[in-house]
Amino acid sequence: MSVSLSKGGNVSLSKTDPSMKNLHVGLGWDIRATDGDAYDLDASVFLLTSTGKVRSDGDFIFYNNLKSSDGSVEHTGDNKTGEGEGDDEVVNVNLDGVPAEVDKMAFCVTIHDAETRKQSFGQVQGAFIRVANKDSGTELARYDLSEDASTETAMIFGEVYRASGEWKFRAVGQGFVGGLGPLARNFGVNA
Amino acid sequence: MPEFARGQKSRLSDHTNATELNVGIDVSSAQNLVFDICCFALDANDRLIDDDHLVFFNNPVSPDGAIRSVGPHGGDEQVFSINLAALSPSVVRLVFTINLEGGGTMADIARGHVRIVAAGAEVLKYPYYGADFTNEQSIIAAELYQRDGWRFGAVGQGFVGGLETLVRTFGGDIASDSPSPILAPPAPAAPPLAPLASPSLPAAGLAPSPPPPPPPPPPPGAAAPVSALSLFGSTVSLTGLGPQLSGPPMEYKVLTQRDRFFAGKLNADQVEQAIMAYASEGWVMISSATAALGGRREEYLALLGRPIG
Repeated sequence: MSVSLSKGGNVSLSKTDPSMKNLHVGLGWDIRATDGDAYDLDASVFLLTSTGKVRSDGDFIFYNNLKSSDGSVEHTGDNKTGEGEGDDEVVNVNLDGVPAEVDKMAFCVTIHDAETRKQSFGQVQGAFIRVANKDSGTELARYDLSEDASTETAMIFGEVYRASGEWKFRAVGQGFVGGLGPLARNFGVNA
Repeated sequence: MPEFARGQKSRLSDHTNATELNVGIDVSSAQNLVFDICCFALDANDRLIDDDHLVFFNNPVSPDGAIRSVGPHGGDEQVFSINLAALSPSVVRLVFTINLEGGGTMADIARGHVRIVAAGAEVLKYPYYGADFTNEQSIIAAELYQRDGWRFGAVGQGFVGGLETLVRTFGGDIASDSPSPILAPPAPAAPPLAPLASPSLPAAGLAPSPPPPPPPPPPPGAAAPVSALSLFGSTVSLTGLGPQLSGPPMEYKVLTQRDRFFAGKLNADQVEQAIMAYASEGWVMISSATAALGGRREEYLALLGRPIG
């Protein structure tokens, strides 16, 4: 049964679905209803060690680096408008393939060209992140963050992390000033 | 007092615990732009509940009485007084819109704001500027909506299309068989001549002016004044006609809010200008009335007359 999380809430993925091998992390948002530049949201993932930093730039998975070097984390590609039902961008994670020194995966979303287009998350309708079992399609947790966003242009939506031998998911919903570059530098990427 | 930026949202309870609020909306421009400011009361599906839940100058009170159009007040172009506690339970979102009537775009405005005033004190404000917009003719300025209590959202987004686009966005139907006054396309100016059925109606109050220029011919198919009035799709009763007098043959005209002189928002200056403009052609006010248009809408009507020849 899927858990609807609010900001700060967490759920044990291992307990909810012990058989899960592959994680599907979906990001979605509604196409812009008003006139003006489309909202182009970009999902990215940072593979972080216990220090909260990436091991190398290759641990930053985004539209220009769709796959981690070990292949365990894969971004399936860029959607530029939010058009279509369901997930607009998807990241797949092979949980057993995630290197042991990776303690946490931070799933982030940035608004492309937000400054030029004068856009922020508060304007985007229907933004969510959800976690599902890729093989069964069963949704495990979902976080609708439309109400928690305001003037941010980059957000840490959620994180999948190890805790006492389990994988857990936390709805973070934390804004970050500046966009993808500063966000990446924050996590130790030489962007 | 917090200033909101576009896209910012907040619980109303973070700013005030009052349930009786004034929502003040202001727009200023160097040019002489004309604005309609409306409040759409929407249901849980973001649909306008019905026409009566579109509150504006011409429908100043929602059916539950909880939304009132106050008009210009306290320095704001338009104020809505909202009693959140008295709103019908089906109303879960109030959307405040600004629509430019006639030319211009929102980029032409100098500045404006939406603010909330509770118990006489401003509790929050969302300022916006022409530079925030490009070619929008209508915008959703801000909204109050229910989600674990009431929240305020600074929206500041809109449409290149005007009011029709807004109405369509909220599920309204423009091309309906029963046009509502604000949604219907602008009617042509009232026919220049709409002779009343009885040409011997009063000449009382006629100005002793020189004979007016010969009237243009009646428009084809123009029938009794009822046809002009039926523009509104409702029955109009005119009151105040004097006793019948004998006098020169008369012609009459019904001036309405659809008239070219005061299309749009009713204001006294425009009415005055319209009456003066017609007076220069020899027309004299015979009576005025308001016509009920169903629901709580009323429209101002003026009956003018002048002797033929």
